[in-house]
Amino acid sequence: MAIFLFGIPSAWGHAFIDHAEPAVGSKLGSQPRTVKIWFTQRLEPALCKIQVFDSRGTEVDKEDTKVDPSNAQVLLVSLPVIKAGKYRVVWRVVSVDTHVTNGSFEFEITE
Amino acid sequence: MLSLLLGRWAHIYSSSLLLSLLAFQRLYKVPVLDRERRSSKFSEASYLDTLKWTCWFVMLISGVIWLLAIVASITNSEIQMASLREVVGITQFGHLWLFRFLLDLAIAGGLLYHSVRKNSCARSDLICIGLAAVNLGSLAWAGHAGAGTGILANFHLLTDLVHLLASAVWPGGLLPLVIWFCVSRRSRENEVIDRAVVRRFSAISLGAVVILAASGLLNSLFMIKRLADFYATPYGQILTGKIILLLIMISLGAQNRRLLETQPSNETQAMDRSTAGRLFHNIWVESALAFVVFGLVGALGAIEPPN
Repeated sequence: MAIFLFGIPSAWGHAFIDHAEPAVGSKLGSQPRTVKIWFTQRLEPALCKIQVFDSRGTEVDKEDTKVDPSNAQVLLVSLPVIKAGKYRVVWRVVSVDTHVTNGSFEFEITE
Repeated sequence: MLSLLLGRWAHIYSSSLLLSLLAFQRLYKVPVLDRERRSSKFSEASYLDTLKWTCWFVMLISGVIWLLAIVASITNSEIQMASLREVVGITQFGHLWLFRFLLDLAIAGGLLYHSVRKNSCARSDLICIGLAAVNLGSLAWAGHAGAGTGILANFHLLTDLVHLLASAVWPGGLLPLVIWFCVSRRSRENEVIDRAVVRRFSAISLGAVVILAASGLLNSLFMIKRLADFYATPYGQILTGKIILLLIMISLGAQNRRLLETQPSNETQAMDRSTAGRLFHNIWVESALAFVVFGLVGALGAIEPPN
């Protein structure tokens, strides 16, 4: 009951987004070098992917998705120099307990 | 999804039952027969051996089904050798399954040794029990608890491990007890042994129920965030169903203890026929409910817990 009363850590089950950089729905004044997502579970590195699409649906990331070597719950992909506009981040991950989750979010780079 | 659910159900149940069957001999049969100074054909009866092998085969086949269902869900396509190799070769689940496959082979070796020897040997029995316990306990790494990080996640893994192992004593031990009853009831001279076995089972199960309840409560706290999740989410509803079934089983177990207490205190006396009949009926119902509970456990590991 104590945990119910005083709060529990995030429920462990499937890998969900904890937070991301750029943040979900954020507007940025400068170019991000990477898209980085923190998940609630450890990930299977070879089976996870982040893709970043521009407003026309063209993939703009460097297709080098990897799990952060220092934190198995963080997935990142590099970005080239991209112009101002709206971008959609699409992710699909497999947590080490083999559950597959996916989702997407947007961010915007302003002039 | 259906193949994953059925695979998990059959695999978790057979893994738990195999440990129960192996432990039944050392926990109940041998101590009681030793106390009764009986080395009759009962001690050499092989009626549980057939079930051990059946369990082993079900465990192997359901393990393969579980693995293939996981490969299909990860690759989101038809199962191909390349994707199977990839999952087995690079994922934690794949490595775990390889390890468990080797364990299964070692357990089969132990069962074969026992079959060839035709005699119970304490050392080989204990080795087999140890292997089956590792086999069952390792399932904790295949569930939700195996994917977290940090001290709390490790604690969750520990409680899951304890929960799995306790399940092999109770309710996993109910089916071996039902089979024991079925076989021994053929002869009236076994009724004293029946009584001693049931009393011992009842005492040991009580401890297992306490451990199961405590570890189950802790597991629930890790998976459920709000009390409303128990009735508002599919995960919570299944968990609630499991808890209700377990409470029914515990009440049947409590009734069995009362029935045993009403019997004469002289251990050398057999139970009266009607009490033995009611005990058998209750244990049979408990065992059937346990089968359903293991199905719910299989489902809990496959579906999404509340966010």
